[in-house]
Amino acid sequence: MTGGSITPETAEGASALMQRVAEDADRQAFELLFRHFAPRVKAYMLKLGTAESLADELAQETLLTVWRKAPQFDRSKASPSTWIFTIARNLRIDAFRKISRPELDPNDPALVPDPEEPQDDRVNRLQRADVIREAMRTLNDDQAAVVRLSFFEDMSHSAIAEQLDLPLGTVKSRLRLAFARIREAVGDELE
Amino acid sequence: MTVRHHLTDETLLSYAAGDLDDATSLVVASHLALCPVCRADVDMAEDIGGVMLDDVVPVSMSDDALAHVLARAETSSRDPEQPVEMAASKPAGGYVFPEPLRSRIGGDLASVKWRRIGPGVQQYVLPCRDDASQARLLRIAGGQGVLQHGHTGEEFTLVLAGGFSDGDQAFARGDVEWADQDIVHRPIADDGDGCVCLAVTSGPLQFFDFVGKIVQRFVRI
Repeated sequence: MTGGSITPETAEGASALMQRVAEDADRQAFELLFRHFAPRVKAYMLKLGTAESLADELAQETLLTVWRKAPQFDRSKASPSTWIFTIARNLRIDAFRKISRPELDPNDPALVPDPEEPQDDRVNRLQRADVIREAMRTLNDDQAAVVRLSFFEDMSHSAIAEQLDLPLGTVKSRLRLAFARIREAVGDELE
Repeated sequence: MTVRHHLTDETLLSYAAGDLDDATSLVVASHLALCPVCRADVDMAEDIGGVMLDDVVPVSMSDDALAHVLARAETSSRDPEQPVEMAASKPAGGYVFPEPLRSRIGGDLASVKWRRIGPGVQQYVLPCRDDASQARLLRIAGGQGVLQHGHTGEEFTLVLAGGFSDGDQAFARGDVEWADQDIVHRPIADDGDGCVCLAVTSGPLQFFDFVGKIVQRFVRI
């Protein structure tokens, strides 16, 4: 990973760039991450109904947080895209609020620890994105719609039910089926 | 300790997507601290968010955005790799409340300002940043229970200490009981030390007897 041609397009590439930012405060690596992720985070904010200028601001804030927290990024726990998604999600929810989103603290002494995970599974976190992407392509339109509304429209189950003119139970069961399908695909991949 | 009563997949998915109100997020995050199984599912749901972020059609940033962020990066300090709170700060018996609940309350069990709301039942209403749902801690003496009630919305009850039973189901630390409009129940705290739990409701409870209706007028449960 010493060449200058690392691309943020892949989870491996983005992860290598993250490492450079974390260890060397590498500005060029950060710039590549910014050019890739900031416009995507902005699109995410806009889809959630954020005004243009605030969306731009929140995307900047997200990438600044990436810079600041880069040393905490753990490639064995999440892909860069997942990590950046959670930062963007929390910044949006916390904008203009005094109390921050309830998040678990991985360093809390009261946390019940994970069972020991085989080394292979941890390496697979970076490849898992591809498995999930494939699995999402196999969702039927109904299932894909409720997942999209959950992530990109900030809709509660009952709001989704209202928008799609469906009973609440149907929305929940579609989400459950979509999730089961993706979990199954990830499970198969790890075996 | 193994958690037997988990959160539903659709609740975990909505938590990962950022769709839940404050009180419901609080009970979900507190359960996650005690349940590695649900935590793994939230990890996966967040991966779905990561994939969707990757695949979204990008929107151009403002012209000076990168320069702006680089300038701010110049002057900002980096967060340390090691967490500030180390395991050494753990009290001898361990915390009863996991994060993020402990921070919201401002301390562990000993710092709760309980208010008696009925025979053997005390509550503490938690501050929340929106009023879509209400969060309260309940401390119920051994063998006592909350009066039989129905629900006008969803109810999540997370056990933090002791346990309770509801019909033929038993709930212990880390377990969550979920109920909605279709469920009428009367949870009873285990004999002995009773039970401390975090209850989150998205609508008022419905009490059916006279005493419950009177109590409700005074405590807004």
